[in-house]
Amino acid sequence: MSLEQVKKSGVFAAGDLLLYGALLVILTALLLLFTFGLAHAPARGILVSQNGEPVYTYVFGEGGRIADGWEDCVTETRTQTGMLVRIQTQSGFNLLEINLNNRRTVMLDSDCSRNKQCTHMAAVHSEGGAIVCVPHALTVTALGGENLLHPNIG
Amino acid sequence: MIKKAVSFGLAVVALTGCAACGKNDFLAYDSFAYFGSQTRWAFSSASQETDRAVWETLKSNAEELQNSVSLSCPESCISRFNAAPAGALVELDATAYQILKTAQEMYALTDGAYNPAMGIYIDLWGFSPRFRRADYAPVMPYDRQNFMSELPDPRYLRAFFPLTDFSKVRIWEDGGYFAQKPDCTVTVDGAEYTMQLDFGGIAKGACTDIEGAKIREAGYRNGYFHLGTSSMYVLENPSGGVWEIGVNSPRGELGAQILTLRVQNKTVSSGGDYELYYEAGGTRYCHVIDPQTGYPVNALAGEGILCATVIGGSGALGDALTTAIMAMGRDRAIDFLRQKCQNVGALFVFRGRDGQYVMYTNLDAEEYTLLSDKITAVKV
Repeated sequence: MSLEQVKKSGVFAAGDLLLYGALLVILTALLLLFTFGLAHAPARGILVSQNGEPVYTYVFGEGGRIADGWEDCVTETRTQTGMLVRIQTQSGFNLLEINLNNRRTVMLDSDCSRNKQCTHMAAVHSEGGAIVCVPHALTVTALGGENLLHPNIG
Repeated sequence: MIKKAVSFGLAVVALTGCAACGKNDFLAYDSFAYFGSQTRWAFSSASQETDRAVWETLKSNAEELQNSVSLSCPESCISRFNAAPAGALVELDATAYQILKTAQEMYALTDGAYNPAMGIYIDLWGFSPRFRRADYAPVMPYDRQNFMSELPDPRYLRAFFPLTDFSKVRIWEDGGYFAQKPDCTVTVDGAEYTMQLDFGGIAKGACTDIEGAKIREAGYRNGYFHLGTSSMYVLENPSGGVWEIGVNSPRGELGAQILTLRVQNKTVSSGGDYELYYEAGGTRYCHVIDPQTGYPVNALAGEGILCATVIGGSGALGDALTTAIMAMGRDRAIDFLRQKCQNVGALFVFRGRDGQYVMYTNLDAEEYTLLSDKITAVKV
């Protein structure tokens, strides 16, 4: 296209503007989805890690998967409402209950300390949450890890 | 026109991608080695080498502070102070001295509601680090085999009060750092007891201050650092703006979080009776001990402050104030917020005998969003 042709047709012809507008709307929607939508999407499952190393994942609707090298340390037991998962670490054991009806996961038992502090922690649920067993360096988070952009305290 | 559209589209896709992918550079390091807590530094990566070097420094700082004041370390200055006989002179390192000095200021500011000399009561009720060990065995005359179901002998509760006057601890600098233990002993059944300090209510906050300064000095401008669930140093969010920090709920019926705070470049401290506790005979016994009664807060009255949060000031101050506010009870805490919290934001959740939850705060409404409809907010 020559300079003369551009001057004649104009940089922003009516059709161009419509197209630009449509593209802008679509891409803005995509950006918002990336920024907010996915961050708030319900968790697909849970992730158990020890010292940052993945140990076990459970994907709702699919089932559990034990990480390589942890096969002898993790046992799954079916219950009426979901699954009991026992994890034996070098420091001791943790027993998780995954309720498949309400998709909440709690720490049922542990030999980490006399007062079993991690068993008092709030459930990991579809919107997030985290259970931390400090003596065993074990964390339970929504699948994909904690959302670092939504920190909490207390 | 199609060429123009494709070019424009690619440019916007690239920008969109950058904005979305920017989050991938927001990382976190975790450690479980300090103060029996999870330490986390979350940040926008500078470079892998720089990030790693700063993280190593943060861990080194935490270890140094732990070795200085933690009761988990038998050779820490505070463990040596506790083991020393009444009236003894104890040499401190600079870190322990500074924390002791800050603790004295907090003791004075709160009229004794923050009192690190409650250490012997914390041990009596079973909340010292030794009770967290899975292989716990009774060693003190007042220990119970089942300390989470058998309550302490009331004789000890009455007898230990003379050992809690923190104003009698003297500290000074003289070519080194020194503290003198009060010349006061108590004898029960032939066993002699002396003052016991516990800096659990301030040490993590002090550590957060040190780490926050280091992170800033290294040039990081966004992210956060927290030590345990009680103390957090907050910079800017990855977009350079205000963070929304969730405050965890003290009771399940209030939901997972009770509110979000809008915070930027400040320290946030929080504590409650739900973090470390046991229940016996239908009563909750938590790790915060009321210096006036020697009982865990809320255990006697059937009502009380369930949690407290402080925004701003130093981490050490916030850590001490949350403990103090918990111990003050509602009316005294309201007065304290009005009279002595002009430079910090503070809030606490009170549950009355009627089961109603009220949050008292000096924060303005735009500084937080209440998430639980079961809590009534009152500005003081």
